[in-house]
Amino acid sequence: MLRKLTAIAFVFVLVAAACASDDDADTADTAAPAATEAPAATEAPAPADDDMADDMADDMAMDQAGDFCGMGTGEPATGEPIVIGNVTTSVPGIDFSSGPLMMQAYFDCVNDNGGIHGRPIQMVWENDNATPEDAAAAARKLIETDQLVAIGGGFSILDCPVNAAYYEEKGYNVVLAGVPGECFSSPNIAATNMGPAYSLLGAAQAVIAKGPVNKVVTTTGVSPAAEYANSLAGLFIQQSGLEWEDVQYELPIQDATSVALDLVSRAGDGGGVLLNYTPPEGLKILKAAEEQGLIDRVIWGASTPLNDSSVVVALGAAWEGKVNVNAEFSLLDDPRPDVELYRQVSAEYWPESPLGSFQQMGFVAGRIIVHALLSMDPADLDDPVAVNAAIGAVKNFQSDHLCKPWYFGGLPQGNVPNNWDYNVVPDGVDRMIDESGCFEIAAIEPILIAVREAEAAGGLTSDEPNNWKGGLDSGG
Amino acid sequence: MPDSSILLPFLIQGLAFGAMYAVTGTSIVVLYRTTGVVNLAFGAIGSMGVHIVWSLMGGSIMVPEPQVSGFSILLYPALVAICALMFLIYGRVFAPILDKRDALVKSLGTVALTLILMGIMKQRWDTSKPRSLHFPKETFTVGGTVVSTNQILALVFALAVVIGVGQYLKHTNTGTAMRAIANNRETSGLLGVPVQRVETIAWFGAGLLCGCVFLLLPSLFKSMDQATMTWFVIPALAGAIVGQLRSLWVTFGASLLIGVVESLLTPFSGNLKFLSELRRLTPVVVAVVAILWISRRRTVVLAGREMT
Repeated sequence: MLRKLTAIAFVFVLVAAACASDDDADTADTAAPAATEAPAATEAPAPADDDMADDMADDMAMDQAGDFCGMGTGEPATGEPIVIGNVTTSVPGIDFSSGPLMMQAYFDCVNDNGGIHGRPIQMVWENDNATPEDAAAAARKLIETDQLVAIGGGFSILDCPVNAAYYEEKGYNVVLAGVPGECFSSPNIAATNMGPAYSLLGAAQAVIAKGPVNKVVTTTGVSPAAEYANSLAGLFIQQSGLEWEDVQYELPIQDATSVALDLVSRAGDGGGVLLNYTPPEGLKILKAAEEQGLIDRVIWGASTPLNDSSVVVALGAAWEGKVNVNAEFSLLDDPRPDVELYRQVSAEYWPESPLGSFQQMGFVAGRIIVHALLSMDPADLDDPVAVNAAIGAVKNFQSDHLCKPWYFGGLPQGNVPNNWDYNVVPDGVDRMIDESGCFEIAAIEPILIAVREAEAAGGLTSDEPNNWKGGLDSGG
Repeated sequence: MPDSSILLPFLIQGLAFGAMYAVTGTSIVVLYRTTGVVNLAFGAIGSMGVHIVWSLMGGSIMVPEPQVSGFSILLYPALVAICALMFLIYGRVFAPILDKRDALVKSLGTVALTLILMGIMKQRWDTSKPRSLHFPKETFTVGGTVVSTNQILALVFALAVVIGVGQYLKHTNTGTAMRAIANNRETSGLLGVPVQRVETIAWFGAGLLCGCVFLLLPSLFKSMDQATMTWFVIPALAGAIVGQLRSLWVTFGASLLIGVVESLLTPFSGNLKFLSELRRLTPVVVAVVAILWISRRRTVVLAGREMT
């Protein structure tokens, strides 16, 4: 019996070890789906006006803030595809794949509308499986083995810390959705978003504007980027004269009820709780808090990922106006053309996807990359040096998704081109409501201070945000 | 050290999770005693069943927590049936292939099933978006703590299962046959015990328990996270190991202990914050301590030689 028990215990330990690292349950799925196959052909969003399309055909800014994809010709692209690669994290509890998949959906729309000067554009992504060795291998495969002309649209917790120096060495200018600090402190990386650290800082600004007492608790999942992710919010909380505590939980969260009870208990009545999680993880905690009657015990805040239509629907009426979500992008039902195009592309090219900030990050990355490629001489599209020079030259890129025009700064200390946000709250039914208009993320650390100085010097972005309502203190 | 007044909700939540570990542990013990298989696919099968029923209920990205009414309410028992069916298929089709192999190989067969099911789920149901299976519940307050009927149901159900299965094994012909097979499979077969039929019943019964556990589990987890549900079997297995894969009552007690300790460690902070951070090791620690205790006076056999 003891031998059998020992054998079973061996299996138990094996499996326990397999589970302990949270992410490896997914390692059997190491081969990332290379989203190279276009979805079922659907009718592409046609240019609103043929004359307008003709007029803009020679305009370098034709893909900026417009209501059509790429060249907007309505003609399918043919020939040798231009392939853009990226490294993305997709493991249980940390699945960012919706960002690059949305970029692919936009590329599909571009391909139905003339592509890049007639050639189709494709995306391939490599899963880093949340391990540094896979992240390093993925970047080298994309650049050296596959010899792709550009890296873009990635969404990873490890790509930047592992590969930033490599990208710089190879001369690649990378547009991505950033998570760890290295995505915002490297000269040759520029993110469409501002990442969990600046986003939670924005959420902290919104929560503190509502007057929490004594203490604010920040929380995220255990990951290599966890310490950085909550650090800026913590700094701001302390500068505001409040106590700060950071709590990290293993992902995926198993016992959300205990986590919700724990967070509220630590914050104390009238305190604040700031969540820095992906939609499935954050929603668990909020639903558990609802069941336990904890909604009104503290002021709740969250970083960008919870600005997601599926989260709002799941939250329901109990959370109406009760959780302050920092939105790095415009509201999902914003009526302006570029956001309307995102909804249209999502509906036609990736209909099973909800609308959400992660998808907006991928969409905007796709817009920027297409804009850079369309600005090039078609003869240079297979030259990595020329392509990356074009990406690095993007300045003052207009998009209705962002508070201010985006740019590839190339600043030596790092780049945070998206540094104005919204505070949004659920309406209790199915959408978020803008409470603040665009507001400025507090420059409390050296990188953002340097970024603001560079912006003030001119040539990168315009001076004023495009949706100014008076900021957080104005009550919208 | 957290104030004792805040521990009550953690205790209740821990009992609910411990109860689910206990039912899972009971299923593992009965199946192991009858077939020799430690079924590590318990969680994966349950998770697959939950995802299938979620889709049948009309769940989608835009309806992450579908609600049902009318005849659709029959989808809840359908979840139990689906799990039982999957158990039955594995037990009748695949398990016999490994019938003559040792317990380790038999168990690894279920690990293979787990990985296959996880791959299918990952492919079919996007893990980047939230989804949940709503099980009807009410909440009420006890001593200032919110308690849900699902938490109470979990505990009552676990108690009923341990008592019911124990009585079944003692007082029915099939139960007697199961105990006979557990003692000596070959001899039981020679004496006319219908081994295959009894094993089939064991697989089916374990599947029923799996389905019942996974009716409640998404509600307790507040999500249908695939990895969480799939590897839920691990802490439950720890309880079964403490019961030496024999005793249902020791399994029940150990499972409750694991659930409660895991939950009560959550609110520790300050100098004791490490306890909170290490709480997910509770099942492993409990299992290792139990094995050391059980084997303290036993002879260790290494490479076929007894070591004294």
